[in-house]
Order: sequence, then C-alpha cells, then structure tokens
Amino acid sequence: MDDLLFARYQMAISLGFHIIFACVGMTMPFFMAVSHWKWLKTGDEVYLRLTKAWSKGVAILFATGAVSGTMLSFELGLLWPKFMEHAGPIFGMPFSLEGTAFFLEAIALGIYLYGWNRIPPYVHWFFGILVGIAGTASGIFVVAANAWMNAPAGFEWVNGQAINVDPVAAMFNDAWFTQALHMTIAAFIATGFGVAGVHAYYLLKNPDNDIHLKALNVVIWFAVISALLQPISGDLSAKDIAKRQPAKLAAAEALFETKTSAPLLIGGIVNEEEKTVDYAIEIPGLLSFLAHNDFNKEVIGLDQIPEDEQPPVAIVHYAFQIMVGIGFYLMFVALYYLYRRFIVKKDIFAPLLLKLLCVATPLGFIAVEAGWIVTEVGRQPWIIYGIMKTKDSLTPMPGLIYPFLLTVGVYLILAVVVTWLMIRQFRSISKNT
Amino acid sequence: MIWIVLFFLALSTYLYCLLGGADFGIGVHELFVKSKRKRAHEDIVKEAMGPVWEANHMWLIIVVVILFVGFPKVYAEGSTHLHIPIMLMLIGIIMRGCAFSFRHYDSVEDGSRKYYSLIFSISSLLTPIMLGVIVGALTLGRIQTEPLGYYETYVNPWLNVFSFAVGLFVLSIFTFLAGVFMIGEQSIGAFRLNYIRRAKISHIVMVIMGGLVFLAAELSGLNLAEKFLKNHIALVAIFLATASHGWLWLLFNIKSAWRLRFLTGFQLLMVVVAWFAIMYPNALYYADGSALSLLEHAAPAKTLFMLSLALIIGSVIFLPLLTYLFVVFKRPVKK
Repeated sequence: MDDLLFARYQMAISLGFHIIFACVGMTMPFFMAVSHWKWLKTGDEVYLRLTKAWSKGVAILFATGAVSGTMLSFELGLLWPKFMEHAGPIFGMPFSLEGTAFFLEAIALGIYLYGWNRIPPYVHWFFGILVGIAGTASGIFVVAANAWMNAPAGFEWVNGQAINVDPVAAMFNDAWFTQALHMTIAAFIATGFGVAGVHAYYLLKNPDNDIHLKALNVVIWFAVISALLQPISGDLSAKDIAKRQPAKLAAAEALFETKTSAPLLIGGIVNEEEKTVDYAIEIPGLLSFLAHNDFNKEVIGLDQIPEDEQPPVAIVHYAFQIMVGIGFYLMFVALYYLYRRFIVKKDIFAPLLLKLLCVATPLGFIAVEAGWIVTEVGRQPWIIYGIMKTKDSLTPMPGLIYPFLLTVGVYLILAVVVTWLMIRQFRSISKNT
Repeated sequence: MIWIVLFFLALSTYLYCLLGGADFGIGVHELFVKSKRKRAHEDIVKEAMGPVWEANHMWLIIVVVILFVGFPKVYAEGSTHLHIPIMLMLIGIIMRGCAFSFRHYDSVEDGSRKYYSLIFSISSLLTPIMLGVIVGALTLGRIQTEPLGYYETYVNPWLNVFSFAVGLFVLSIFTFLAGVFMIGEQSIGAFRLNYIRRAKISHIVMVIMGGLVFLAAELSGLNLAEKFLKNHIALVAIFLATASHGWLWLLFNIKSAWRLRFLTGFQLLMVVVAWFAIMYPNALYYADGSALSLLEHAAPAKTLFMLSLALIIGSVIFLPLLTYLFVVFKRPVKK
C-alpha cells in the first residue's frame, strides 16, 4: 500500500515540476516574439536587449522542461506499466503528435537562439513564433491524452482487454476541449503574471527603468486578456465535469449529500469523518446554477458514489478553492489595469498596480498546480475513469520509496538552481540599463 | 503498417545513438581537457552543439513514444524489469541537459560554471553506460517471467558482466563519435590535431570494447558469436563495420572531415543493424529462453496506421527544418 502512495507522490512531484516549465515553454516564446517584432519595427535597442534576455530565460526553462518531460514519458511505464500496456495504443495518438510538436519546438528554438545575424530578420522572427506555436500545440496534445483518462473513449472494454480501438475517437474524447482550453489559458495567465510581476518589482525599485516598463507593456496584455477569459473556460469545465465526473465535482465542492438547489461553498474546513464542512460561507443555489445553469437543479453528492470510488475530498476541495480564489484575484488585477489604462489614462503603472502585480507573481503557477490536483486527485481512485483503478496499474516492483526519494532530491536541487539562475537573469537585465 | 513503425523505431534509435551519442561523447572528452584550455574548449562545444542540443535528444522521445503506442507490452515489460537502470539513465539525462544549458545560458559568469561542467561530465559517463546496460539486459535473457526475490527479479537481469560490457562499449562508441564530429568543427590549429589524436585513441578503445562484449557474453553464458554466425544480415553488417576500420584510419588527416564523418556514421549504422538483426523479431529475452516478439505484441492495426501517419507527417515537417538547422548554424556570423 505504501508503494502505491510513493508512486503517486513521485508522479505528482514529477508532473508538478514539469508543468511549470511546460507553461513557460508554451507561452514565453510569444512574449519574446512580440518584443522582437517591436525591435524590428522601431529599431529601439531596448527591445533587442529584452528579446535576448527573455530568450536566454526560455532556453534555460525549455531545457529543464524537456528533460523533466523525458523523465515523465518513462515514468508512466516505470510506475504504471499495466496502465500503459492497455492505454498506450488507445491514447497514443495525441502522444505521437505531441512528440512531433515538441520536436518541432526544439528545432525552432535551436534556429532561433543561434539565428541572430545568420538568417534574414523576419525569417528569424518567424522561428520565434514557431517555438510558441509548436509549444502550445504540444501542450494541447498532452492535455488531450490526460483528458482521455478522465473521459475514456475510442475502445470497448471486454474482460479486461480493450477491443475495437479507435485512436481518433480516443483523442477527441469528451473532455479534451474543455481541459485543453482551460490549461492553455492558464499557461498564459501563469507565465504572463509571473513575468509581469518580476518586472513590476524592478520597476517599483527603480521607476525610471525603461526596459522593465517596456517589458511590462508587452507582457501585460497576455496576462490581462487570459485572466478575463479564464472564468468562462472554468464555467465550461465545471458544467462538463458535472455531467461526466460527478464525483470530482462533488469532491471539489465538498458536497457530501446530493442536493437540489445546492449551495456554493466558500472557504470552510472539511471534516471527512463526519462528512461535514465547517465555517464555510454558503451561497444558496449557486452550485446548481454553475453545474446545470439552473438554481434549483439537483447536484449529485458523494452519497451517490460508492465508497470505494470516492476521491479524497479535503485536498480536492482546498485545491479547488485555491485555484478559484487566485483566478478571481488575477481577474480583479486585470480589471484594475484596464481601469487605469482606459479611464484614468495617466501614470498607468502606479505603485498600487505594481504592488498588486508583485503579489501575483507566483499565484498563476500556484493556481495551475492546484488545478492539476483537482483534476488528478479528483479522478482517484481511477487511473482510467470507470475502467481501471490506479492501484491495479502499479508496478510490481517493491521499494518504491527509493525512486521517490531520488526524484524528490533531484527536483529539489533543480528547483533551487533554476530559481537562482532566473534571479541572476533578471538582475543582469537591470544592471545593463 | 508495422513495417513503417519498425523502420521508424530503428531509424530513431540510430539517430539518437548518432546525434545524441556525439553529445554524450563531448562530455567524456571534456574530462580530459587541460584546465587552462577548458574555457576555450567549452566555447567551441557551445558553438558546435548548442543549436542542435535539444533536437538531438528528441529522438529518444520518439523511440519511447513508438514503443508505448506501437508495442505497449514491450514498453511495460521492459520498464517493469529494468526500472533501476532506466531510472539511473533518466537521472543522467536530467543532470546533463540542465548542466549544459545552465552553463551556457547563465547571464553571470562565475565559479558556478565549473560545477556545471563537472556534473555534465559525470552524467555523460553515467547515461551512455546505463543505456548500454539496458540494451545488454534486453539481449542477455535474464529477465524473469515470474516474480522471484527482489535481487533475482529487479537487479540480476542488468547487474552483470555482459550488460556492463555493452554499457562500456556504447560509451566508447559515443566518445569516438564525438571525437570524429569535433575534428570537423575546427579546420586548423592545435585543437584539430588534438581531436584527431583523441579520435584515434577512442577508436582503438572502441574496437577493444567491441571484442570484450563477445568475451563477456561467453562469460555470462550467452553465445553471441553463434547468434552472429547464424544471422546473415548481422554477419554482413559486422563484417562491413570491421572492414571499414582500415579505411577510416586513412581519413583521419584529410582536411575535409565529411568522408570521415560519413564513414563513422556508416559504422554505427552497421552496429545498430547488426543488433536489430540478431534480436529480430524479439525485443527482449527471458530467463526461461522465451522471448517477447515485436510482431506478436504490436498494437491494433488502426493504432499502427495512425502512428505511421503521425511519423510520416512528422518527418515531412521536421526533416527539412532539421536540415535547415544543421545548415544554418554552420554559416559564419555576419558582422
């Protein structure tokens, strides 16, 4: 039993680590390309310096993302061989497309990083954009594969074997669109506010610093637009989960009993033993509305899910609250920016806005982690929803605590080094001004 | 369809060994660079490897994806029984990839550089050895069909003389590949002469290691020589690889390195072909003498069709771009 837990922890840490770099790899190239475009159009050296500084960051983060992604593609087999044996041929199509897109991203990045003064300026710029397009595509494909675990499709399960496999139907499963949309926007939010926050911090320290102001002006639009779009995508996801995975929604909302006109809970402490939530603020009927567009409709609670098919409630509920809470904070920051930009119109990046942005720096990434906890823990005990349980797919090898500790050690060291490198990167941008 | 998939599996394996292999070899060579030359050497390595660094390692991902989509049983069995060496290889891959990028894209240059270089070199030894150990373990036939004790099931299949002999052979091949690649990277100077010497030494080491693999096989109770004698393709491939050694030595000092590179690539191709030939149609051998066949454990036809399609479309897109990448960074920078 412990082995199962350590395998799950190892997978969680590996995914949690990789997802940060994947987000950056998907979106940062676009920031870089916009800055590059402005350099091409205006000839302003500041944009050139910004582009080069950002591209170095992309190189470091991409490399870390690439190796942690390689690790994941093996870990699926190292930890969950029974799952991969059955699932590989079914949900392999998005993986093979992801491989292709990732390869394309690596090639485009190579050309981009070493293309300065070697290839025509606009061709060079194009490869920068291509890094982002290929990165985003590979992200979408991987999420489509994950979506299949939530909404298995494209096969018939007979006596523990998959027959009539249809990889195309598997790829375009019921969950792929809502999940891919939510994740892609989340990547823009996390990276957008992450980068904006750091530049805001330096601008706060040194208000005359042109490069940080220009950087902020490039990146803020990505952050603002995606933060305003995300609630719509979140709503689509909630309605989709209500239909397909009622257990996950019930856990996310800590809804122990099936209710008509179900309330939305804000905050609260989950008591899994007593099946209650204490100290929560209840908004009557709102959960019914979010799940089914109707304030009176019934929402399925955990009491309708067999005991051995219920996900852990507390962790999913807390993660969900964190994700939604952060989403709202970032949306308000985005609205405040629009207010200053279009209504106040002068001194847009006033200290208050800069401070709000500083606070936002890590929040998008925390929300991404929390969101994945909701998706993955909320799917438990299933690895393929309704088909195969996680414990039945575990490797027979005992002693899984050791690979787990090794993984934790390596990723801890890497996290420290990468953070330190990023701090150096941003400091050197300031110094050169 | 299965032939297309098998072709891409072999091709990706070969290209990973060739391109990724040269990358690994550089790390080994760095161990033997005098400290006063170290910095200059690292800059040459960056120029030579930097642009293709990430792309070279994508071939491994393609290999893994083909395995788990096309041959899921093979992937599941391999990763269950060879968990430990695969994990060690992955740690090596992570450390190398990061150390290289950190070293070359860090915005401040200080003492941290030498730690990156150290990690880079150590993991450049670890990874190819583990890669070879995995290949050796698949070939040797000590993988258990039924779970026995921990040691018998998860350690013994790979912790043996033969697997490590293959590991060292792979390491020596990669070191040699890097040597040959680097000769062509500098047309004049001590650097070039230095690498010609290194390529020659690593070539001799590689040939000795190749012989040791056969010896280790005998010691481990695997009649490798007989497998070769019974298989015509493997025999021809290994004959061509061996016969071209003499020609290779004539090419070391010629100014253009392309013929040398081409011949080295050909030798590696023959080694990979020989290995596929003696294994075919199996991917791994068990201790009870049975084997896991690629043909019998392939994914359903529809999956193989989609996989082939993805691989073909992928090649059409990225092969021209890859060529462009290899061409572009060989161009001089306009001042």
